[in-house]
Amino acid sequence: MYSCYIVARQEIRTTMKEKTFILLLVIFMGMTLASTYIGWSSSHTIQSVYNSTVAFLQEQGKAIPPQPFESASHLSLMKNMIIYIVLIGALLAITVGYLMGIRDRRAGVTRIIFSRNITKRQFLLGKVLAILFVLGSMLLIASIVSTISSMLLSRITFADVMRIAGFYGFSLVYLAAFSFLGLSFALTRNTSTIALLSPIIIWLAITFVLPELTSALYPTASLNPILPQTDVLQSTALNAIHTAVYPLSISEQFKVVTGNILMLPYQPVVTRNFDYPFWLGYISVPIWAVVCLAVSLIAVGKFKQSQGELNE
Amino acid sequence: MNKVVTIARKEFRDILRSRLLLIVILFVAIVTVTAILVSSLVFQSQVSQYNESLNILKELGKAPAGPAPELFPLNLLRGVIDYIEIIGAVLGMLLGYLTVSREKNTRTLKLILTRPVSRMEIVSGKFLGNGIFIALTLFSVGVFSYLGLLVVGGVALSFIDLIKLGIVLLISFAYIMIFFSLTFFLSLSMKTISHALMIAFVIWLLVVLILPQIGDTMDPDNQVPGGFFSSMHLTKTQEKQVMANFSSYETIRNSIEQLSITKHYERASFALLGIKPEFNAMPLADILSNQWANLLSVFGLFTVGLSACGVLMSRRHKGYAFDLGT
Repeated sequence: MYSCYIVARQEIRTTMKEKTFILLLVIFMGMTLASTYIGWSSSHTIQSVYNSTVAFLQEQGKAIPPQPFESASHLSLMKNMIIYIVLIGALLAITVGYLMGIRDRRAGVTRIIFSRNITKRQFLLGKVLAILFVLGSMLLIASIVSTISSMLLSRITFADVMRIAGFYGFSLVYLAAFSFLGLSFALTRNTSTIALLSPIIIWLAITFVLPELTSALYPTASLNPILPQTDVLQSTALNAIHTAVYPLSISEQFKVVTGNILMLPYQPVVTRNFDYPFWLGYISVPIWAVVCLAVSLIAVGKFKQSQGELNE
Repeated sequence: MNKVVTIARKEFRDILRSRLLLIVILFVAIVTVTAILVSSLVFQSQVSQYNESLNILKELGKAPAGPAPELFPLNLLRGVIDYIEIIGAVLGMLLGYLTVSREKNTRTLKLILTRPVSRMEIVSGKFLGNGIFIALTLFSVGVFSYLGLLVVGGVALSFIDLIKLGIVLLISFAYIMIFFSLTFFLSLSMKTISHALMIAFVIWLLVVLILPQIGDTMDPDNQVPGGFFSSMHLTKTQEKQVMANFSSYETIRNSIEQLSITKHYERASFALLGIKPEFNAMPLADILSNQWANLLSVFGLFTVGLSACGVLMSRRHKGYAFDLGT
């Protein structure tokens, strides 16, 4: 068990020195800080736009529709953070997992490591602990930043603070899955480029392609925390695709669940026959993380200590 | 010139041998077909919903309130443009990285330079080989799009539509080559070549995803599902009248978007494909003249990237470009 601790400590220390990791971390933290302000600024502006619209409609003698964002919670200021977790957070997580898997192979030290008293499972456990520590620390700092900035820009209660903690806790599960993928490919691929690109392609598919298939969302529309009304699934073919593929659309479910945690208005996908419940993501995202961990376990099982070095 | 062609041919062969690129190309083909399939199904769904409503109104003896959905076939390519923005840029970065890393890892760059071939010829050959590959990939996207619209959407493109599609693919070529130049430049100038790819991904994240995302989420119309102004039953003209009071906010929002080359590419392509409805009835020359700033930005940055790589390569004598990459 001590060996796991040694591996984890070594990984955490070296990751903290990696320039690419630090650069991505700075961007992530910068966007965390900016997201609450952007949320506040856009909410403030839309309120003014609504007031202007009301005045305009009154001048024209037309009826005033009800305010469409009346039910928005205090935490809606943080809505952009959901997207930054899906974009920057996931890429950062892949980088963390990839670096932890590739570093030893690139340095040519895998034979030396396994000449010591350590099993493959202990080796993996050490890396997994390091991943959870690095991502957990990053999200803890992000949650503190979000809480303080939300306090400054809005009146938030203790329950809201708990919701922010819940949001970042759930994000840890989502991000850990991508790190495990990065680790798996870094341990098994023959070249570092394929090891990095493969999890990125999976991330692209999960983030952009699956939502298009399941909810007819254009890829760039997936970047907006407020989804367009997806009542277009009245086509039998689209409905069938949605029913078959939606449980695999992890990023969409993550957005629904975290939106629910932050009390954002729920925008169901309107289908003709069958609607998945909003809580599906509470189950499928952790299952996805467990599947990715199992993939890591298989990858480390196949890992050949004697041929693990990369000669690039 | 022969040397440039020889290097280009060798580059092209190397690309075709790379399994990773085949995976990326396959991915591009899948997403192109997916985008057209989904757009066509959405349009068919809108038409059938309209017809259902029309039948109900006829039975009730009433006239339809709104116009029938009108199909502009090029509109169905919006998803394809979105994918070129995101995945096309990744393809460009990957090619730029691989073309340098292959030489560094096999230590062949020094060997090539012992032959009577200049540095500019090497850069030109590499750009030509990769450029031809990108052009062929985009040509395949064009063919997939044409066939997808014909088979799935049931519509054939007119001659003018084909010209518009051709221009969009040309802009896409310049856009992808910008990312190729970026990674080529970084790979040549950085000591640890794998860092170059990761730095390029960070830039890609900022330029392709984050800056447009900030601009989009600041858009008042995007604050409400289905659009704020639709929920207030305002027309486009009325929307403009209301937003005239928020010109400073809109200027800031627009400036953030303008920082991203992806947004320039998107605006020019959306205009040509008529995804912004006001461009559907506009003649091609007028669209091009309306979009000159966006076109200039894309082709201008493409030229800058190309020149920067040429200058870097020709100036390096004992620099990292000829070291063994790690």
